[in-house]
Amino acid sequence: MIVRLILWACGIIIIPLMFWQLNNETKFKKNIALGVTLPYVGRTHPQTVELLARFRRVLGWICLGMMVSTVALMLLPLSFGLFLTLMLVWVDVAMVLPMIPYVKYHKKLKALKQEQGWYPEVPRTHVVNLTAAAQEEKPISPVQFLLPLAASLPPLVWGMVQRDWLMTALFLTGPVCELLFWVLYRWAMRRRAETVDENESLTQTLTRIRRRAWRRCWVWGAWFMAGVNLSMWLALFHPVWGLVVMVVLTVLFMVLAVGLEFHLRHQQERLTAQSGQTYYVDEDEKWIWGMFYYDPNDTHLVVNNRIGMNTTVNLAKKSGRVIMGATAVLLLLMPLFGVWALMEERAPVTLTLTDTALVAKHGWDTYEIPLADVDQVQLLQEEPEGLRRVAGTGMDTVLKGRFRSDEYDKITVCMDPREGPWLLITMDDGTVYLVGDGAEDMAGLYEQLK
Amino acid sequence: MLLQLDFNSERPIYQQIRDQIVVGIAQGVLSPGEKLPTVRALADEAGVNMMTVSRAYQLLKQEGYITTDRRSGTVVSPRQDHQTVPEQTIGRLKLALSELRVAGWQTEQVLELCQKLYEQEG
Repeated sequence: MIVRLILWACGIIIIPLMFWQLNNETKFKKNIALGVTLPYVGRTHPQTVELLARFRRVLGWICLGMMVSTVALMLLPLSFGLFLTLMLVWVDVAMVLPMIPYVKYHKKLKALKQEQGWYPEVPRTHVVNLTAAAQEEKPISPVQFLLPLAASLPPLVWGMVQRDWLMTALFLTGPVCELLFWVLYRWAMRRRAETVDENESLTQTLTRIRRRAWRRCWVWGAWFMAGVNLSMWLALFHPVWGLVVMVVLTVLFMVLAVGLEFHLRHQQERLTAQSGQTYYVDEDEKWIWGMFYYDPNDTHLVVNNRIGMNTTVNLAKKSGRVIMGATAVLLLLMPLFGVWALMEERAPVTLTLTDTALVAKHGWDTYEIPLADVDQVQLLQEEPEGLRRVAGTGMDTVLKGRFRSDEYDKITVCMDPREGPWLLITMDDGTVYLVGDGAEDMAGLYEQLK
Repeated sequence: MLLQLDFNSERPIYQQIRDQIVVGIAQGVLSPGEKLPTVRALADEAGVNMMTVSRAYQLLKQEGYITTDRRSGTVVSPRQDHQTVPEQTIGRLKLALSELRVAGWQTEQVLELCQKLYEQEG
């Protein structure tokens, strides 16, 4: 139930985020609203105001509908696999549905712009800020990423000392992500100045605040990964505390990152409130639906989003199309993960005794226990105390993979937890297996093994 | 200073960069000794190839508008009152005068226009 609640909370957060972001797009920042650049006079035009208000209303209704549907999803008595599948389909719909009115009203606003002739005097030119380019900006010191990297190393060292290679691999994700964040911070940082109009000091301020937000986001991300690594380590010994710390860290990072984005947007809105009265930069031609960048003349693959601190890819480049296409396919295929969970959930655990081995099977996973190496067999009427998953599957119908328990420490499990008894098999080398298929003749199998 | 690059123009991008920097110097937007961006920084800002910017800078250096040294990078050259007029400038001026002559302009009209434009640019 807790896992289901966490998944539900992770999914449902998309709607307020989408609502805040898209609703925020109706506020003029850098002379842009709904992805359309307008001069100062166009902002207060009655038709513009009306279009933006209508978009906000439609968006509000869609988001409300999505929230109600997800509450219903949580209340329905569904199996975990079915819940996960529907939840992931819901996530896909939640990401796409609010974008439909966005595109619709973007087009309407663009048509109004054309109708009113709201174009700068020198259209279709690429603006280059020579002054801003001359100001050197050094990237932040790698030390800012090395500190969280150092903080995430103790679990990794522990895993290596314990010669637990699975845990070592798991704890390696933190340091690898931190290094990756440093590389991505450098690679995806676009130096282009945030030029809105001829006001040089405004350009400098907008560029500075955006770069500062960009830096902070990646450094915070590195510290977050260090925290996740440490909380995973904690979860091995105190599962509840480990989970609590991980949830708190995730919420904290989300709040900080989203807060940073909205703070930046608010600053962009405030600083450019009076812009667009004379000369202003209009690059709408390069943005499809106001959100996809397409400029064959730009040599860059990664470019800054016009609003906020994010980046996007240039779809005029083949690699840009590949990245965008792969991301879209991955997001759309997410529900397949739910289908996989559904299959796992419904597959039975089977135990087969051959002349040489006891074979426990579930889905694609097979655990072969050679009879010659068995040291001891016990028939357990109850699950071992403090049984917790380290790596593997934990569902109502099946537990399999690497587990730990207070009584037996490391256990390899493949069992149906709904009905005992289960067989606890200790091997000559100290490896412990816990298997059971929920069948009635488990006692008979125990006798045969003995 | 803002440069406006027109990718649809027949005039090459390096020429557009060169021309607008010259206009900037003439108008006083770029003053002597003022530091210009590095080739890499300007290429990054403009989203063009580094070779394009490098070519524009080479041209400006040849014509004496900018100088480059290891310490201070690329800077606008000090104004020289009697510097040699580049051949290319004379060529362009000749072409413009011919066009005006064909259009039936008198010497006085041409001089008046020149004076007006020169004052505007200054």
